[in-house]
Amino acid sequence: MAVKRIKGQNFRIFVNGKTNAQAVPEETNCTVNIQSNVESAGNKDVDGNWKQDQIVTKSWNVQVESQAADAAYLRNILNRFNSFEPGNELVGWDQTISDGGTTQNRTAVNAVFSRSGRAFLNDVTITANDRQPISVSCQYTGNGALN
Amino acid sequence: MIGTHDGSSANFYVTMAKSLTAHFSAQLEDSTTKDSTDATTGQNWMEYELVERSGEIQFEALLAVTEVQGDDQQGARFEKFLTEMEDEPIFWALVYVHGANNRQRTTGLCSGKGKITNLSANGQNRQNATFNGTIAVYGDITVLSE
Repeated sequence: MAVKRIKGQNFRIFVNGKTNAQAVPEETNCTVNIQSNVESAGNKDVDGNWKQDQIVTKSWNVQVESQAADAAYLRNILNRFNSFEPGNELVGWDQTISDGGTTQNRTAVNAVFSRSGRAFLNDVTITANDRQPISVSCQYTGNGALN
Repeated sequence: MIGTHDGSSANFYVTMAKSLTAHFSAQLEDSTTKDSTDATTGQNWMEYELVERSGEIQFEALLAVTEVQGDDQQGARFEKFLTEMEDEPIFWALVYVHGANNRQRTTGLCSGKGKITNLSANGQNRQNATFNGTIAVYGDITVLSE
């Protein structure tokens, strides 16, 4: 059986839900990072000289870049960044299916690799260069477990 | 857009701007403790608290000596930034523009106060002289509704 792979445009970020409305609009790129922070667990009872680590904590973050759809979209991002209740955004990723343009490639399929969790919107960069589309890059840092 | 440190709003457009980057970030502090409710044996997910927010606006513009259509176009050229590079904060605003010379305000995005922390100018043989500026956001920002 041939292995089926997905293209980058079908791996998308969703914020505060997994409906079409919650997909990051006009997303151009995303990166998901999950890290285990380790410390050495090696001791004299272990023969050999290979390192043995134990996982102490785990952390995750999501970086998503998009073209700024309009002023309202940028205001929404800035309002969320400026929120007095930070750290409570639901952020996740999922596979999407292309449907001929009906839902703009935003239909999430609950793929086995999809996950979501609470996060801080802790970094926003807006870039506006002459004659080019305005782009915005957001970083979400996970605040607790991924589910 | 920027204002002057003795003014009350941002009312000058950066003359002949080429690029603009606004960067806002929040510093987080590790607040994971033994009480973290998501803990399973040996594997705790990190939890954080917000410490501080900061922002920086960077732009590049051509080094101009006059305005496109006279000095009433409210342009901020290199010399204005040199003058306003003081400890007193100035107003800044990010706005959408249209119209003649792109100086007509369509709608506002956000605004606040800031301090000019860096200015540099470059003159390469046969090419347009340029200057770069950095404004460090000072205090709260306001997300504008129009």
